[in-house]
Amino acid sequence: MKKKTSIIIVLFVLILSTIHNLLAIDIYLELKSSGRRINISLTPIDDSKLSADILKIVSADLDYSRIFNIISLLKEQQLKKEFNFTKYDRDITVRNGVDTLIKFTTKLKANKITLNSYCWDTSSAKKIFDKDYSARSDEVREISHAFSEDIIKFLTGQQMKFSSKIAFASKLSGNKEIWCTDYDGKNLTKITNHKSICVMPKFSNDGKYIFYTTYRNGNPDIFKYDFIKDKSAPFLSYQGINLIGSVSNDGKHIIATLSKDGDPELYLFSITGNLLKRLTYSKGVDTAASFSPNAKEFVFISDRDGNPQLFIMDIDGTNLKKMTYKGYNDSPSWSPIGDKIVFTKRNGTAFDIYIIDVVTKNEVQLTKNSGSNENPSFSPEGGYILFSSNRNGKYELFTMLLNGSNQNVIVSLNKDSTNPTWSP
Amino acid sequence: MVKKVFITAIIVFFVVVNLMFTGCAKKQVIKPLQPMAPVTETEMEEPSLRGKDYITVPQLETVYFEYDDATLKTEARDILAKNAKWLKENTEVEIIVEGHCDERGTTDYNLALGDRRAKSIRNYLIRLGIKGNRIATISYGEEKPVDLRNNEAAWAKNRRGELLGRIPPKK
Repeated sequence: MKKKTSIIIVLFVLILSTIHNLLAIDIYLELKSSGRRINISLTPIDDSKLSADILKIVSADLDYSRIFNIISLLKEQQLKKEFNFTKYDRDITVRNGVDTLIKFTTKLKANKITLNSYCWDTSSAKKIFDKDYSARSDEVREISHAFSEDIIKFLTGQQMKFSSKIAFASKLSGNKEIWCTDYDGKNLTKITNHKSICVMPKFSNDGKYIFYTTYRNGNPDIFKYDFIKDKSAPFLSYQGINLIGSVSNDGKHIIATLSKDGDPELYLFSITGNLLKRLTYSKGVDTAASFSPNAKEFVFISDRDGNPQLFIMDIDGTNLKKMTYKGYNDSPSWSPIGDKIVFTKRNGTAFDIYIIDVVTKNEVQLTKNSGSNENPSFSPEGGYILFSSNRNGKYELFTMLLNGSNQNVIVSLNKDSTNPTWSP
Repeated sequence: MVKKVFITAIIVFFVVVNLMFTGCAKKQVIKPLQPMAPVTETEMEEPSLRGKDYITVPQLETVYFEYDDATLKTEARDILAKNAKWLKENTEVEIIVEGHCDERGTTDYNLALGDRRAKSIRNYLIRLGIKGNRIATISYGEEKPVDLRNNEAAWAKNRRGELLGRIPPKK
């Protein structure tokens, strides 16, 4: 009897493991902010302009994270201006439903900023963390973002990056150049000064470089911009078009579109620019590659069957899968969370943004009746989609959530802003 | 007697010589591989456009394309036949074919489409007898529209292949 039972157990385990293996797929952890948000209150204990500025930036960061509600206390409910959590503070915060209280102070001395912070859980009156920061006086945004990242890390264990950047193309200075802003559209900086045409910026996986295409040397070549050196240099200069598609998450590979062998085709390169493999051989256009987060496959578009459609392929050029069949689909970008791809679909003369599930191929429309919406790309943690839209006349940069809600302008210049992309 | 000795000597000589050569295997003389003269395809190869300035040539007419299409329609082929005739009469002229698109579609796809348009013009001119090494190509995608309006009439003008020329300096 005992023997029989053990055989059954062994069989059961075997079957289970077989099923497990059959269902083996990549598992991605998702940053979800479901459930109740944390009510947080931030209070500077000095009256300096610097503290007020930092409060503004940190509040915006925490709001963007969708993990917190920022609770502003009324004037007559001002907390004690000291690094203590007094009984008076506790009464006021608990009465206002504040879960977490942060007090901080800043000092500006000899071109140096210092920031000291304390954080308490209001119901238990226990300190959660205290931390000090210092930075150059021109790094107010940097020190604020570092503070925000720590608040989220200490309170939720999650890593969010407020240091991420957005790059795009604009004729703001006359010629089409590459421009950069912080994740929130602030801190506009001009990256290139080629006085030529610059298009399609893409970040390296560490965010230290931007690859883009420019006609600086007559031919549409790929250049590489180095943030630290603040310099651009030619990267790929084959005869014909050279367009950057995507840099892999592991920092090993780049996929680019070249037309050196005839039609525009996709080619796999090492991160240093060595040509490793030609990936596509179809008649017509193959372009717009975007790596999956595991860096083993990529989505791209091909008009081999007529209109451009989305396809997925392994980085060795095998295992081709067609993702879309109808209409005109372009500009795919793979979510860093792994199971979704955003892309644009032509509806009449305008384009709209759609999101497709990689497994079920189920498509959901995210923009509707609001001009042309193009070049979608994900935020580093995968919670937001960045895109360009001409719904207000000229092309501006927008962000929205994955269900298409909260469509907000983040960059609006006097000239069109196009080809937006978000750094990792 | 002398004659006999002479004949014998000759016979012996031939036998010896014969033996000498049959003894060792006939040595086949193998010439070391000479590097082959490279097959010159330069007459057909697309020239680089780098560092060259091309200018508008009134005799070289622009051709137009359908939306999201790089194939040459009858009208476009007729224009190219005229262009080819002029190029045959003016053999010193080198050209560049610029592929352009209308603003609809992404920057990326349009750069690829413009490249295909430029190449389909280049290939047709080669078929009409123009040497490939006279025809460079470039795609500008949607970056250089001639009509900035946002309607079908403007788009039709922007979906085009332009031919520009230069006379290379004498070597």
